[in-house]
Amino acid sequence: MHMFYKAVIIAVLGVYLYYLVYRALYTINPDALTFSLVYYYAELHGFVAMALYFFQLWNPTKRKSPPVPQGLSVDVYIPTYDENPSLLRKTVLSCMCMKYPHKVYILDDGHRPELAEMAKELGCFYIARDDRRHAKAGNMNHALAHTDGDFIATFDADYVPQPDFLEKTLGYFADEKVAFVQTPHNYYNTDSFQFWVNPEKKDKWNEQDVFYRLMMPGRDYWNASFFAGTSAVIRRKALDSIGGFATDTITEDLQTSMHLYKKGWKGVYHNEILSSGLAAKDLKSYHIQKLRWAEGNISLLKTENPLWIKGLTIPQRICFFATVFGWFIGFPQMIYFVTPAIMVLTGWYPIAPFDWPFIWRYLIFLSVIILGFKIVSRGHGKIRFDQIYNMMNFFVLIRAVGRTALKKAVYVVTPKGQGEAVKDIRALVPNLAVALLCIAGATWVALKLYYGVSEEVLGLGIGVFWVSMNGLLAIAVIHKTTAPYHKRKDFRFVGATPIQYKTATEEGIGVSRDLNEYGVSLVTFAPLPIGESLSLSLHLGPRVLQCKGTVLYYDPNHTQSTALGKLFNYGVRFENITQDERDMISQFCFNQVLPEFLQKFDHKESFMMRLVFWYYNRRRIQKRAPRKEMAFPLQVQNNGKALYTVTHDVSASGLSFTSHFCFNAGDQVGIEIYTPRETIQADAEIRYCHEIASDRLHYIGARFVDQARAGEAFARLTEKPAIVKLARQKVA
Amino acid sequence: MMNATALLRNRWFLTGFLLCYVGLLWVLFLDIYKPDILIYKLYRGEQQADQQTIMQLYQDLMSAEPTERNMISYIRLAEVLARQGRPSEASNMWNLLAAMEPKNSGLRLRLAMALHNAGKYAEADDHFAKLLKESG
Repeated sequence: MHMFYKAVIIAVLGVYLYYLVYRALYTINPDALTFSLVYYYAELHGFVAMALYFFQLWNPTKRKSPPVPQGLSVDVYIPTYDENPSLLRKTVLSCMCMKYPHKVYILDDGHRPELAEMAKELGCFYIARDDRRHAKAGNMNHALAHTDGDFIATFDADYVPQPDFLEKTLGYFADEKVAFVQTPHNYYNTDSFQFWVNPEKKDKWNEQDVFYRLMMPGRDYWNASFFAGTSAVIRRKALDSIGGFATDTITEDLQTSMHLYKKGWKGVYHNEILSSGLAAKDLKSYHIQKLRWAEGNISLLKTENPLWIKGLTIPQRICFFATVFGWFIGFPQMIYFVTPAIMVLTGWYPIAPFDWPFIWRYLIFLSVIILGFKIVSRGHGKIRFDQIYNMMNFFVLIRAVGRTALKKAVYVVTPKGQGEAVKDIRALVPNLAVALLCIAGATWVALKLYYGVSEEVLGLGIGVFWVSMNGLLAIAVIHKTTAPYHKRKDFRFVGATPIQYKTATEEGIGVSRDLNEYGVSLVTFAPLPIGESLSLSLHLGPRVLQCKGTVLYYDPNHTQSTALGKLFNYGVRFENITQDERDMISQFCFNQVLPEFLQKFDHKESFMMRLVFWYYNRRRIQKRAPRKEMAFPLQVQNNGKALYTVTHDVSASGLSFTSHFCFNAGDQVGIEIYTPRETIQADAEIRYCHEIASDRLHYIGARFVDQARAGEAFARLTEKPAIVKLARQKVA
Repeated sequence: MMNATALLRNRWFLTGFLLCYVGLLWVLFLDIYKPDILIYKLYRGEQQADQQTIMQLYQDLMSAEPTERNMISYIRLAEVLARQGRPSEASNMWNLLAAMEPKNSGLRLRLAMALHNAGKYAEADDHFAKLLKESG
């Protein structure tokens, strides 16, 4: 398969090169020479960027964690400055809950007494220093002098690790040359404007996914992955050999990695999401973050240019240069965004003659580039979303280049937490300008054709096509970033867990739609009284939390009528729960709900593999009973133990669900599914048990033992498809 | 009070703003392309104009430089002039266009024919000869 990707890479770059040569020889417009050359520069930049991107994706690694040795001495650093203590509490708690023995240190540059108090309460260490020199890097260097662990795991204040983080990463250090192990960055607040989530297709997209799920494993092949500031473990000895974390630029992580590689150390990239953080809360914060990253990376060219500094291998030079070069994309992107509109408004053509010999070459070039990008990106590359984020960022990146050229960059902490996507409209001015320019361009073309002042239908047609595309991108950015997000104080994790409730007059069982430590969106089979108190039993994996709640509102948007009856949706706020109980819910959300969500939404196959799966699934679907996704409360009886969970999907022949403990294939279990109309009982045989998160979350598939009896009952759950098909056969 | 973000999501505001914006562009377009629109209408016979207006258009175009963008108006006005019985002015326009694109044999042919119609046979013959030579 790797050979196929390599062949595609060579073919695409060959076509791109041919296109560029043809353009240079035959289609530079002397009547608008500057305009034409500027556009040609953008295309040339695109070629270099694509070649560097493909170089990094030459042969991505797929590593499996080696066994972890016992007795390693590990310190966990959580540097913080002004982040919300409630946000930090989740991080500290999760760090404390990591299974491998370790010590946790809060490195507080904000000198906040409440954090010192929290450290005491939770049983971790608190370190503060007198100044804030060199920001985060300085903070961690100060901690290095006051701690003694041989390995240092670092987490940003909002990054919550999974319990097995250290077990999955420490094993790599058996190789004495390994300096650091980096894992992917991931955001858990999927309602942020930085996400595109499609619940039907179980697909989510985030700007960083391509980099952390694909490019970093690709760079790992060249021993050029880098320590990315958080969610990593570093060997102290390696840090000591380079004098600690680098402090010359504001992106200490990239520079530290380069220093380590210069000294001959190795880096490892473990491509499994083992921690999750918060995406920047609004567009302004997002731009602050982008600006810092861009300035820090670009300033490397001034301090330590990866192309010339001593000690790096050639692939490492190329990969680190690619990282820096990526931040120069702002100007060429702006050229792409405004050129079509300028062309139709002024009549200057960046490409001339714009005739059929050029057009057919252009169409082949464009098709090859798009298809090649999609194939080589192995299912991660989504051109539409990439372009929307290029539109969102292009001006900030241009600013970053300008600012880096003019002055030294200053470290600015990214504000984290919940907020609105856009508070300050100034962040959108470049996108508004592009949108208005494109509307003007499209209007101009329409008027030209209506009044007959131009007969260049082909040129204007292609021009208006790109004008419309760019205009839609700008409008998509404005639409996405002005949407009213985050009405809640904290993010709610999307996931289903059974919840038993009691009102003054009745009791029942429901399922959560989303959940956090403050409240739950509860789906029930019967209406609940608004404003009244409930007694709740939350089944949080192996633990059950008893608490009180108040029904705040009825949500008609998520209330459904099904063939089995009505499902009501209510917003419920937890009342009078202790901090420990909140922590329990928070831990459940991070350790069970989030991994299940990621398992459902994060799995991506390559373009070719999707075709293969589609072909085989088509045949399987024809044979099996149709499965229907539905989240109903489920009780599983096994050896006298009762497990409360939620169905994942159900068919006339079986069902699947998640469980905090693993069953053995072949186990016989009794099941009860609670539906709005009835409680269905059946015996089932466990068919498989797949691990979602090690030792705490499993995906179970089961088959009904008495197919005829259970099948009839469960066919009612799956509703029409199976039944209708049978009825038709009888009539025939 | 509605803030700017809310305004950007307000359909009434957006509709009103877009109508005004497009209206403004329309007015601007009519102003910039006024002569081109008139020439197009004269060319299509949708509008009649007196000789003075046509000659004014002719003078304006002759005093400007033809570009790829407005070449179509030159061609149309040359046709209008020919129809109005002004072959000499028409041939002047074709001459300008042929000078702009000397390798365009279509324009040269139109120039040669316009010169012939204007009675300038010797000049027309030169261009016909060049065309024959180019076509081998």
